Amino acid sequence: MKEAGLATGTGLPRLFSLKALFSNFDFVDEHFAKEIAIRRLFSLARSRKAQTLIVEDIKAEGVLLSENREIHKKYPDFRMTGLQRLSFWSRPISSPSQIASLNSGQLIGYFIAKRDTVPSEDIDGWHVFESVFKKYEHSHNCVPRQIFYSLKIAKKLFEIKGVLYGQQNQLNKACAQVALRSLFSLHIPLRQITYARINKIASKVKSDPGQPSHYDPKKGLSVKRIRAVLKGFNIGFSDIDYSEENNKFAREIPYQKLIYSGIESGCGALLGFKMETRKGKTQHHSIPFFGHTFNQDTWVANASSAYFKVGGTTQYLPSETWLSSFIGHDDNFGSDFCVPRLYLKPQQVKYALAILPAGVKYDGVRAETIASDYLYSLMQDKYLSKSSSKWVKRFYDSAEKQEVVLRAISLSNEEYTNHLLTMRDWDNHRFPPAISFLTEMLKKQLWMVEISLPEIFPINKRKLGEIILDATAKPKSKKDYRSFLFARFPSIVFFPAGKERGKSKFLAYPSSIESHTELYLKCQ
Amino acid sequence: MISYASPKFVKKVTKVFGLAKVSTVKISMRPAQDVPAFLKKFDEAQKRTARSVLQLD
Repeated sequence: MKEAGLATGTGLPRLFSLKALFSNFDFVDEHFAKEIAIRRLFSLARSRKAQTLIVEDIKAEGVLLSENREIHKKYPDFRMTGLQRLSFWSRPISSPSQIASLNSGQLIGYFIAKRDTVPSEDIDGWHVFESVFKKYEHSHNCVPRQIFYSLKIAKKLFEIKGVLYGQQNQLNKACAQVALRSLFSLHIPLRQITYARINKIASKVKSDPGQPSHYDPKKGLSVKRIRAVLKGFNIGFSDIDYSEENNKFAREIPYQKLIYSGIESGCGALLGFKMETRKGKTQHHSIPFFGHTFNQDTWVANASSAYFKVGGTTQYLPSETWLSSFIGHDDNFGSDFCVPRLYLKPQQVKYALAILPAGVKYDGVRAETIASDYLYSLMQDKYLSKSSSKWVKRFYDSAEKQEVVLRAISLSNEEYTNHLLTMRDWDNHRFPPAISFLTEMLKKQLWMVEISLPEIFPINKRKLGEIILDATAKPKSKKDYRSFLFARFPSIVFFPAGKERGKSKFLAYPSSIESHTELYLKCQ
Repeated sequence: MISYASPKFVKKVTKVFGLAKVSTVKISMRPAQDVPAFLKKFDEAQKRTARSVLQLD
């Protein structure tokens, strides 16, 4: 099915110079009925120094036509009364003939504005069917996974990297459906993600008691329907309905950990919460997250509340301690917002969901806690504890006080092996190329839980080692998690070697990497 | 896939590192049960989530 960005243009493109005296406010007031989310997109274009705006009328084809047919089935008096593609460019051009000389590097962002009119529902308004804007190029803004989206401007093909945004229309989609389409676009070709398909899957789920018996897409999605849609698109996830849990649970397994796990793996996360909007409504809203900001100088890590307490005897500093905000979209207000990590209070949060990478069977929250058990257990090894390495001694100094930093990253077997092959410690030591034999030992998908110390992690972005877990099978909640594959510390590595008389056996080998190495960074 | 416990693995890893194995170490996992308790709590919450009736806009 044709993507919305590739829809055929009709008539001549109209060009606008965005230099003063052009007014974003005037333009949105005049053409898009003061729509708040569209104002936000114009502001993003301004902040990225857009010089030219190109406006095209387009045909409803592919996924756009699919949406129109779906709305028309339910509302026979529906009419699409406007459909435009607007693109913002960093180069000034003044005539349509110059469009051929533009390139994708000069494209700042685009959006498709759609006007749906249903007199019987008293609906007549513009919304953003979809948009993509380039990421804000600040070194502290981290988006682990961005996608190239295709679009055609005046018959010329371009592409833009970012994370898709969409807005609800109160007809066939609410915030839950548009949030899912944003997140799915990180994993599935956009042409396959229609609202008709999302709603078809959701409609097959039986309504809960107390809910209307038939499925109405404009009311959003229940948790059961969200789960069904994810399964229908073959996307793995880990989720918690916090509305079912008490305050103690929300403190023990904070929603931020699950959201961060989805973001840091490059898969994205969905947060459902109760809030009062500036439109004066109290609602159960849901928004997608896909990035975060990182503050290397945050004071928070010095507070005891920053520690993640697994229980009475296990704690560590999670890497998200240095995270200031989650980056996500809000369909009510626009794209690419920063939501402070601690802004939404636990009592407001009703639902958190982390998308899992393909083939991964559990989330980074579990991976991190299991790794902490292996980590504090392996410290009993006499070869490790008696190591002459000053970095091992520093590790023990911190680990005995349970002040190590842990960071869970999902990656493939090949990605991890390549990480080892390119790894250099502070003295430029490396592994021999034959370390690539590890590909034969490890599972296809892994959780790598990086081990670091407070003064090495945030500013230097380096680590002392990692614990590698099998991500392809959900671990048991008993002590033998059966997920350990490999561990690396300065000057020593461990392989599992089964069990003997109830004790885990490990093979220990000396490692040529003797000090700290770079973290594995997915951020773009 | 080679088994970690197999002689083939031991031969291969020793050859790769070019060094003799330090040891086969036997380590009891810590007696602390807070990680299993945490995982159990997580599993149970997710079972409740599967039955959730929460509606999101």
